[in-house]
Amino acid sequence: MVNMADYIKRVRSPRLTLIIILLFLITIFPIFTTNYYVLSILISANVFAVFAASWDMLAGVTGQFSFGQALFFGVAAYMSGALNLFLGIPPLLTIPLGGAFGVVVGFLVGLPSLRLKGRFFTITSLIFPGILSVLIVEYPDLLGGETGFYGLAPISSEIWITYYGSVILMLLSVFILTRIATSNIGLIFRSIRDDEDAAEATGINTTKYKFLSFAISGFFAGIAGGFQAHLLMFVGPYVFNIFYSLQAMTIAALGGIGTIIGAVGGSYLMSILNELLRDVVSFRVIITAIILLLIFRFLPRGILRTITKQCKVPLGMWRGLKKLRSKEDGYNP
Amino acid sequence: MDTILEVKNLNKRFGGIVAVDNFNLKVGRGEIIGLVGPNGAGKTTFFNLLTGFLKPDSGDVFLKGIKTTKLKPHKIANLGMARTFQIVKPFKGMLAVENVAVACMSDRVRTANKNGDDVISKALESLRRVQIIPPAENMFKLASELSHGYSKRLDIARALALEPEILLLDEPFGGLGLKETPIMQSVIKRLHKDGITVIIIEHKLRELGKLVERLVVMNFGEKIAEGTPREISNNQRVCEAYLGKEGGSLFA
Repeated sequence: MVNMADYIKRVRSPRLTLIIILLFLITIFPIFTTNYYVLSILISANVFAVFAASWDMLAGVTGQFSFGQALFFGVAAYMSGALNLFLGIPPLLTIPLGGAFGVVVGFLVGLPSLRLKGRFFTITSLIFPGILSVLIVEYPDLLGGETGFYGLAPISSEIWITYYGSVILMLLSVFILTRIATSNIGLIFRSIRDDEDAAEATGINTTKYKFLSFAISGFFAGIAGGFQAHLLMFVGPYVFNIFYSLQAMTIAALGGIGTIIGAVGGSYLMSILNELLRDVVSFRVIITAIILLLIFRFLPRGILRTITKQCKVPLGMWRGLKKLRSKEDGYNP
Repeated sequence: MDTILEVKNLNKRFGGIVAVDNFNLKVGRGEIIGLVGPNGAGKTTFFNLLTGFLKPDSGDVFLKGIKTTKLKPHKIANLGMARTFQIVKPFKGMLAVENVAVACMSDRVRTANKNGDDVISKALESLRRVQIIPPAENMFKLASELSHGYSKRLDIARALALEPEILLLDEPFGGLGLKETPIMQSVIKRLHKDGITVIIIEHKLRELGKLVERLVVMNFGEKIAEGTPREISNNQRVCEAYLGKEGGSLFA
């Protein structure tokens, strides 16, 4: 008789303790320091964790390897900025509205992109942010031009409130994304990633679920973009820069593609790295690209998953397996 | 007999090549049929046309009287026609049990189980039917870790979890060893006994001859013969298609 508990233990990594410790540290951090500089690095890390996790949902879980995640981020940043600047809507509302707009853009981009598969999709995804940044520069009266929109309302005048805002944003987003990825819908997403034809033959409406994944990813990338806009109190065409898409990918890859939660660890690592590279800003894109290459070559499972070796399946598995454990005693194959 | 699948004047060309040529077929509920023919005869193309992965140039497919010619693959699957692939297509990054559980997420299975029969027990039952479990540890293996024989059966298990009325198997014996072949045979026999209509594409006529009631022979997209395995083995045209004009015995 197979010991079911052993198997469950092998496929699910006991990460809960680790998560609780990290959570505790993140929460009490402002007690140690309210240094503006340190906290703003952490805030930015939280925002990018959400952004990277949203990319991971689309690419790592659903297999739609997009190079243009900055599109959702940027469009939502502009949307939040415009709503705040011209209609005076407070950040608390503009950020989720930006996310909602990310969903719309997700659908719009999904429409032409979904007919393309694999590398063709990847190349196409690269185009959209580029088009938008050109449009913005070409129509300065309407879209703000190269100077963008500035003078947006800050999240809060107190840095520690902004910090907790970003923590809540990050925790909520990652929690929801992880729940989705481990749910039955996540199961379908992963089947599309592994073999679209087989998923289709198994009775799964792959088009519908790919749209869903685009929408979810667009939403969370959007709220990250909106938060970022209010954080910097400025939004310009830079948000469509390939560098942002690349950052999301590098962060997710650092943490382990397809894990969602890895994006958090990856984001903190990346922030430290970015600070180390502050003096050589012009090389940052190159260095980020090299890191991405090295990770894909040597640590394709990401740092997080390489450390917790026993976890052979990302996400600590599909939730359905918990049910299996609860029936473990009566199980007799 | 109640007709479950009817194919009328099906045609498919790829440029100048005629892959399926004016093909007609009627399959009764509960039948087990072998579809044979030399390489490139159009067998897999025919399966792809049935399951919606390819659209025919002309002709129609009726599944349980419903015209499925223009439907998408997932719609056809949800109508009760499941298939496997010639080259196995497991969800490699997922566990064996998850592979099968995906089928339980299809509309067909979800609407059939409104009372909320849980996905896991359905997946396990499917894995048991194709003898992937026991041993139980197999269900916790990644699909990419399973041996070829198990992968072949995992494909079938996934199709079975759809609770299909008709099952299309594309070369189920391809690449199987001496030990695995009889297991596969008994699995397929069992499915037939359970009342599922089965159509099998296969090159290994000896294995197929023992399983099926009726053989359909294809060559260059055309149906060149149809009958019991015994009749087919004596058919001159079939022998020519397979072995050339000199002749010989097909089932040797």
